[in-house]
Amino acid sequence: MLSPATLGLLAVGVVLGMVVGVMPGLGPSAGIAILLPLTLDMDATGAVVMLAAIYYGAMYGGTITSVLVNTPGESAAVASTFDGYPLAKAGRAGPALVLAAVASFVAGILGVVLVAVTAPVAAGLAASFGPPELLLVVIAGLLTIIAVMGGNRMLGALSALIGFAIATVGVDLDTGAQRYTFGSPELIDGIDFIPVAIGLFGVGEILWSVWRGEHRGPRASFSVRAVLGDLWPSVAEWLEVKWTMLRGSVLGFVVGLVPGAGATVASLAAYSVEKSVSKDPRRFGKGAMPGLVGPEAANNGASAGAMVPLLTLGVPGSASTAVLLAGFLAWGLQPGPRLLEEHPEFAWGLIASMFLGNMMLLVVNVAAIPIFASIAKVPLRLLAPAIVVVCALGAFTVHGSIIEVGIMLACGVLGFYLKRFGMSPAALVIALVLGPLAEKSLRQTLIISHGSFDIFLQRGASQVLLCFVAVLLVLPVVIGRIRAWQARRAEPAHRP
Amino acid sequence: MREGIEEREAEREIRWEAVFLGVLLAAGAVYTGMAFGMEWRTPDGRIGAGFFPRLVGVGILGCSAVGLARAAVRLLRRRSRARADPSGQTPPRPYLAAMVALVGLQVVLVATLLPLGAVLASMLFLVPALAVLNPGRHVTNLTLSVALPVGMYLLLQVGLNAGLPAGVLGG
Repeated sequence: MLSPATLGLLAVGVVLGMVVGVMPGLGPSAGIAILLPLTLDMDATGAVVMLAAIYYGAMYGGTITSVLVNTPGESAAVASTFDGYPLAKAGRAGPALVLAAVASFVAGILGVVLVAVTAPVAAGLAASFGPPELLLVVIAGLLTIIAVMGGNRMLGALSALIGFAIATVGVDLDTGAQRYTFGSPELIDGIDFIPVAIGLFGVGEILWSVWRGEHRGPRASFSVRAVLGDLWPSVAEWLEVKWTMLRGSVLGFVVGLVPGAGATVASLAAYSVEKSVSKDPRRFGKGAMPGLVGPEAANNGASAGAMVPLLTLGVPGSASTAVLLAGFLAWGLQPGPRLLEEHPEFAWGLIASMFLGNMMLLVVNVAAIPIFASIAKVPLRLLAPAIVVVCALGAFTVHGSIIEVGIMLACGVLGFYLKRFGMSPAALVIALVLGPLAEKSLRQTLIISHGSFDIFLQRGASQVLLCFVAVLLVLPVVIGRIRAWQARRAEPAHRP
Repeated sequence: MREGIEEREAEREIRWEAVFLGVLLAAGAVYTGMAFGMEWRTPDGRIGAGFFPRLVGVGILGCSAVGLARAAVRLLRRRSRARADPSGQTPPRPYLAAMVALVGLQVVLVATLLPLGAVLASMLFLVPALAVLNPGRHVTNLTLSVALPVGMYLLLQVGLNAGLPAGVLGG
């Protein structure tokens, strides 16, 4: 399974992922989406191993820009800027990046062990799920994304519904009727996920950056040598973060298990935990090493944790894992409870590759931090047009269809507006991937129950999931009310 | 004065948000209308092709209508505040022209990809796009405009046989 060729792809994936993660305006989801077409001519195992390597390579690449130029590659790396950038300003970026790499490594290895232990258990549990439970898992995953995005949750729900709407294009497999194809033979098989993801995350991000004038900003000007300082951390720094790494890894893994919660929630939660357990919380935000190491361990732990619902339920926990799922489907691998039984060589090979990939990531990181730091200096004004060309040619190579390049472009514009108005491209993409599963589960549920929704109350697993969905619906409202009440109470006290 | 400019900037954003939600509402109406033209149930009593799209369509209509109404209320509140600001200064515009140019050039890229081929169409996109985003650095721009398409061709076509369109260079 892990032949020399596959190991080569693993190494290429790790390096490509880091390069993509370091590039301004691109994150793991954009990176995987853009690079996905490159893997279509490979064998399934090699391609998926490479994509997974791009995924966690890009997760770490985002850390470098967070620390050096205060620019997170994606939301999961935001918490890394809080203390990472102050550390760089103090000339401690080198030790910060090395400790972040070690934390990512520890979280990755621990995560792989936990995946190996929990995946068979989760697969066994998932095997007992029927259509009602699968439908509730899909709804819970989407609601979690909408609940954690903050701001306007109505617009988050609208994003997910747009994803479902795009998923309905093509032939309805149950009845054979064509839906929204407008007579075009190109649309009979539906709208492929890959051009949509490339458009939303690749072109959409570039348009958003250009609109905000990031291409006009000064070239990131820092002396790599001066900002990195001594590369190796001091003994005191190692000792300070030894438990932080473990706390962040476990917390991240547990959060990653929840479909929809993902690395962003994990990293922010880890930051809060580290601040609350610190003997001197006032150092946080001013360059506290645990403030960087905790979120880094957590977001890598969450990346591993998210593999459990992805592999055992076929439910992605984030936009990045949704793109990975599209890759699995492109090679005819259907993640779900039977994946471990039917394709054990693939599932366990992927888990083993994650183990080796994390080791490679550590070596590449520590050895090549100055090189990747230099990539962070490439200005967006050169990268933006180049990325658009890579996106367009990549979208074309999927099926050799110019219509799909057009769809990619349209989705790029849509992605720009979604970002601009606080909507959620991630919710759209996950809904697009899960749309067929949601529709099929809903249909089967109604067939089994003869049209009655009582079925959700009659099965134990459904009842638990229904309670979880109810909490996700009610909790944001309750928290919002409490905050408003607290603000009203605090207002008179501030008045003179 | 700065507060007045920020008020107008926020007002402009809400106005565009309302326009965007209006477009989504209209698209949602078309989608839902078509969904209601499909079967809710098949003649033999099975769930029809229109069942799921109707639920999704009604959801889109509801969410975008509520979002639009909220944006309208926010806009009216902001307008009354902006009217109270005597400075009347216009907020700075974001880099809309550069973004629109980039979208326009992408349309040209899509239109020319098949007739001209991947290499030439990419060059035709990169030269003006880099001139807009990276003005004045002609040598860098020209080098990138040639090197990237050729590099992509070598990687995707020669290396991976991905089937890029050859266009006029294909003979």
